[in-house]
Amino acid sequence: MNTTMENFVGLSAVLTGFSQEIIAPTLDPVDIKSEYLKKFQDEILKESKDSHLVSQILEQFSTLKNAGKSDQEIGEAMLSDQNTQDFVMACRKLIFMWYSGAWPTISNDGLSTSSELLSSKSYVSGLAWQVMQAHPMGDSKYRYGYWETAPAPLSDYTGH
Amino acid sequence: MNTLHLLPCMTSTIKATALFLLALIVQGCGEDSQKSTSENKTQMSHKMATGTLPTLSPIIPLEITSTVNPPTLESLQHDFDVFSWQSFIALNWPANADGSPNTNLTIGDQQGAPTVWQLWKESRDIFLPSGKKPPAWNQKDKLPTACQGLALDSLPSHAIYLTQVGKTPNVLDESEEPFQTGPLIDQNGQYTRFEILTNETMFNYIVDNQLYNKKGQKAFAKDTDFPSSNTQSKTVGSIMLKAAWVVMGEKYDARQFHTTQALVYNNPDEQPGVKPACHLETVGLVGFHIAHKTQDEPQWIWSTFEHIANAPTKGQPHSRSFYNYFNAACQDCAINQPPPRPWNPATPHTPPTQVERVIPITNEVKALNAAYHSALESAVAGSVWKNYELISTQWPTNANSPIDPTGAPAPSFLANTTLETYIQGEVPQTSSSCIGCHNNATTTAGLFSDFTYLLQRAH
Amino acid sequence: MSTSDSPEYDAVIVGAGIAGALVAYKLAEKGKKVLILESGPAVPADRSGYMETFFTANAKTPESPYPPTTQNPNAATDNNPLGLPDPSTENTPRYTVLQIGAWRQPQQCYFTYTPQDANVSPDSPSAKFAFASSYERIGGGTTWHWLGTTLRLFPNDFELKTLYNVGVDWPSGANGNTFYQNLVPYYEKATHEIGVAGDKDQMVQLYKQFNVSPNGEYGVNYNFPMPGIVNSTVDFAFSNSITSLTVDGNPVYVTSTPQGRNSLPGERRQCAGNTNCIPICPIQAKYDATVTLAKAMQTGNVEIRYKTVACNIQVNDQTHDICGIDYLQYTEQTGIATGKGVATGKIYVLAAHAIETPKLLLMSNQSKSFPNGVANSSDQVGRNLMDHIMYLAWGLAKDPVYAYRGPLSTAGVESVRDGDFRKQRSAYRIEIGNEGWQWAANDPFTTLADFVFGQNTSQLNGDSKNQQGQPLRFNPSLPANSQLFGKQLVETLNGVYIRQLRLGYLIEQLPDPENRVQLSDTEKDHLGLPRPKLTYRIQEDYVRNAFVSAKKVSTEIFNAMGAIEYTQEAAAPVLNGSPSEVTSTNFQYKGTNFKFYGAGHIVGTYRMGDDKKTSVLNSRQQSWDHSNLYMVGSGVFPTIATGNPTLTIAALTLQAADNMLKDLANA
Ligand SMILES: Cc1cc2nc3c(=O)[nH]c(=O)nc-3n(C[C@H](O)[C@H](O)[C@H](O)COP(=O)(O)OP(=O)(O)OC[C@H]3O[C@@H](n4cnc5c(N)ncnc54)[C@H](O)[C@@H]3O)c2cc1C
Repeated sequence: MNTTMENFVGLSAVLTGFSQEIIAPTLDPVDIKSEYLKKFQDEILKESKDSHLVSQILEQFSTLKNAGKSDQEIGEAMLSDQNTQDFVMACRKLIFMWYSGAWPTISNDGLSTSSELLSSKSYVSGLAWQVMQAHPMGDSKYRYGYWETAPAPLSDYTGH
Repeated sequence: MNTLHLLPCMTSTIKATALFLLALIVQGCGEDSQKSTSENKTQMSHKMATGTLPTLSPIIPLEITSTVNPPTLESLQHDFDVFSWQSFIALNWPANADGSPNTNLTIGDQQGAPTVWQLWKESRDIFLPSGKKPPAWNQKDKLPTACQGLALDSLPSHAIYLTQVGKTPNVLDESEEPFQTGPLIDQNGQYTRFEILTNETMFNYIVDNQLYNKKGQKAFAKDTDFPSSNTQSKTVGSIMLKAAWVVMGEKYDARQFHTTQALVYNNPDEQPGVKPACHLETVGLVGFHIAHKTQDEPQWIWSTFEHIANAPTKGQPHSRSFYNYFNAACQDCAINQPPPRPWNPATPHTPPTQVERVIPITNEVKALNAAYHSALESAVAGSVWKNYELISTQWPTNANSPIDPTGAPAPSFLANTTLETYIQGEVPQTSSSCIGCHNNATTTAGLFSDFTYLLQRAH
Repeated sequence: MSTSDSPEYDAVIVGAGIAGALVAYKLAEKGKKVLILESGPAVPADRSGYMETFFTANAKTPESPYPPTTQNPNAATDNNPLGLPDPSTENTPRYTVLQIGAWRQPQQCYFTYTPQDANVSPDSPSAKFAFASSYERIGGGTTWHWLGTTLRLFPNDFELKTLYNVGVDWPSGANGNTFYQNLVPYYEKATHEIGVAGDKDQMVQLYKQFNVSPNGEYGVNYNFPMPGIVNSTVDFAFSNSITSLTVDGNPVYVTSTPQGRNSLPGERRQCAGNTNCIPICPIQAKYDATVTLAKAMQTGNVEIRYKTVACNIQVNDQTHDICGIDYLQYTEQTGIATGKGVATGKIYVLAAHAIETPKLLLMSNQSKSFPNGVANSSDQVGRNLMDHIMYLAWGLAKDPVYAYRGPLSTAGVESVRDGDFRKQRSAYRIEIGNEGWQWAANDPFTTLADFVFGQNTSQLNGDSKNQQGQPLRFNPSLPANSQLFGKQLVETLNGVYIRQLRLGYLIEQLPDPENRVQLSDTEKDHLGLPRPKLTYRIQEDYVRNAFVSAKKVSTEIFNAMGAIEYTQEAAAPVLNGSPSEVTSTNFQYKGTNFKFYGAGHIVGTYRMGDDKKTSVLNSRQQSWDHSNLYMVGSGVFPTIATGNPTLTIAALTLQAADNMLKDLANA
């Protein structure tokens, strides 16, 4: 019996490989998760024209989670061929959004991706900057000279 | 991947435990007799629930008192806002000649009397042009030459309170907001004046480590680490203040402001073209920042207060007929724009700045302001302090984050319309965020200066 | 509406970039009354507006934060996939990086171009290309998005013809290096105006190597205003492993770059490494011309009119003196003109940068004595357009180098900038990038999309091989076109991003009179002013040889580091074809396809010289034709030389300001 937001954050953490405490901390003044959930719901509805798809995805996650599956197992099950193409693509786009702060469009030939940023907040929240142990270009919280030495370990950035 | 991943979760646990201890201690410093934590908690929530007035105390809080367990973002914001008000009350308590709060009086008594913080050390008395060791805590450096003719004996009779505490008026030698963003012009066409002060703990640290000149900062050769308030030893840590003052007269009714006599000084170091000049003026407080370094908030706690009539909020109806920094009659005044250069506080008249608040005050803060205003009114009928309101408090939600030295501040943005007039907003990096900006402050030697730009004033 | 009765100023300046602002400041400081006409909007009190536009821009090109908007995704069509605005609807259109691909489509590209000859072979020296560099038209000008590299040129740069028998000399070049020697004190002043952080010892090392002064002295008793900005982990990866190499007889070593960014707090804030010098430094730790402009305004002697576009220079047909500059004003970028007037002064200074200045001169063709445009008796106005054309190389290091941190570039290889090889090929400097593959491959987003959606644009997730035949799949134990999630995605992306390397070669283009700015006969901006028409080629094998060298050296450097090279071979040039088919900056040379990039260094279109028949300005930067007309900026450079231009622009401008003060004193 989890809320939509709890399932959304839980699923997002599993798919991105980041801990929940990093992407949606208990004390969360930035609250990017709310912006992403809404965008996810709107875009998936628009793209799939299936008004149940998002809740189906979140319910399937919830079921797997409550069954005690590991993150790896959950991720594999969510992205498996057993699900519809729309279902799997929605999950992959969710990963892309968390990493980039942008909503992706795949080219017709499938070979490339373009994307549109949601907001300045989403841009600076992109996990791509965290996974590279750096900071969003244009928004560093570090101090003069930090670039002279190696950053904190990756685990500090991902929370795992 | 390693055990460090627990950190973000642990932080909140640590905070909760620390707060648990604090509740005991801070209360113990107050005038009330000691209460157990659980009693305290029930009482706090009770107070808020029934509208019982908050206590007014001359004691500066050393930490926040958590009221909800487990704490949430909203509950902690409330606790920090209470901390801000408690600090504001304590700092604006009437002072004895030695700078301690006069416990025979309450806040709001003797309007115009110097308050505790006004006897703190002004930055100009710390970082002397000669680079010499500053005069002792309770002594002032010599006045700028232009101010010297205007000594105490010429003080008008209503400046009586200053002479009572044997104090020379402060020298207001700043007329611009930080980083050359510009001066703030009042409705009389005059420049708003600013000053920065530190408490004794912070001053002592600067003196003890010879951080008052460039040479000393170079020799120090490490990151600055000001002492923080300590609830175990019950010691007050470092506190710095920034105040904005408007010169009284014409459109400004001195009875509406906390006023003082000040030496309003045109400082030639501010901009080329400024000539030294000094006037003794009655000035009224319009903006007030408090930054307090505490044990659990190494990024400091940033409280900001303003006079209630400073400016309307963008997109909201105007609630007053007169604003300190807004003229409803001016239709084509550009909003939040500094005057064009040249900037010179001696300019006889500059078109007033048309100011709007960009980020509205939250309903929670408004309610807290109302509660404190009632308490101030019931302590002293007609208290001038009812004319001051909290805007918000910025604090680190994840103070010990290994990857974010700013500790993920809440709220993400915070500005005072008199101190960050031109950089209000919600754009990362450029819009005013106390912690975000001060995180990059360094000494003249280029080393981290612990969230204060003050040390850059050293010669 | 008309303000032709405006008071007379000592000087009227067109353009409020670094060149215009410096002139204004130096004249006003001495009590002269100055008027600046600036085509763009005022310098904002708060850079948040530009920052917000930057943060939300999908393509974070240098121009993305600034008006007019570079891209409107909602306006995208099949024919205009990027949603580029129509320049004919804008009052101050300018060329942007996104327009390069649309160079043959005037509805999307501000510049127009002379047509390509029919059936040009891919390696033809006369093939025409798109110009690859951009500029701004806003208060403060292009330094809003400059990188901040502030190197001096070498004395030999000023004598290319005498020493190496190519290009031309700078004025009085044949007389030893007097031009350079006279400039040195101004270089020192310029370094202070800009506020440069630099490491003197490293400059001395270079000066010894190139025998600039016998003892290697970098300015007697001179030091930089601030210590050098610390090098990055990326720089160290290079400096630790490439010293065994030589290039055409020169040793290869890494020099920390003098930069117009604060290493210490001062009037500006200390650099915090936001890795965003281009397009915009959020905290103004990097110098931009608004700093000098503020100082100029603070004197009280400068008036600036924004959104005011100079459109004609009036000449007194008797004296040939300039007697006024006509301008148009607007309030909205796409609105109608709202004002016009004539600005008059004792002297006139053009500082509108190397495209707009010649355009203005050519537009000013109403004088009977100067039918080809003001100051153009030599027919040199608009000619010899140059840029540092860039070769980019990128790779993945063996061990983490932690890219994407610190200023965009903190070091480079300066030790290969001069030598006898300059008889055979263009010289270059090599810039080390701290921004991973952001410029080279639009990362982090390209690699991200590859591993989320199973694509291979980055060459990391497929069966790609590099030009040396090495397989490029990042993790050979994963199948091609992997689609990852969770831990494996984290480890893969991390492994890639923290190893990314990028080198950029700034190649010295030669002056070619046929590379030029003219006026378009057909296309206009929204004020009705003609748009530029460009011709741009890389004719000389001398220049193309430098690409061959750069390619070879990159591979050697990556090999020496144990890195894998990912530089993608450029697509074959398509020179003839429909506007959407043709390539823009691809060329073929000796069987290899190259793509060149722009360095943003627009140079040469109103050069100075010793002879009024072959130059627009004398060495005082004064028009040969009109004694009260000066021009400043990189358009005055006879050659583009081997250093980024702006420190030299500033030094020359300070020198010119002294000349102007002398003239005003004598007037
Ligand atoms: C991406 C990029 C990176 C760069 N990095 C470096 C670097 O690291 N080091 C370096 O040395 N250089 C660098 N440069 C080059 C540098 O930016 C320019 O050399 C410099 O800004 C030119 O200054 P300027 O004052 O001559 O011209 P600008 O700064 O372009 O100013 C010209 C002004 O004239 C105004 N104007 C134009 N037309 C008119 C008109 N008709 N009427 C009135 N006003 C007009 C414009 O609005 C503008 O404000 C870089 C450039 C780019 C694009």
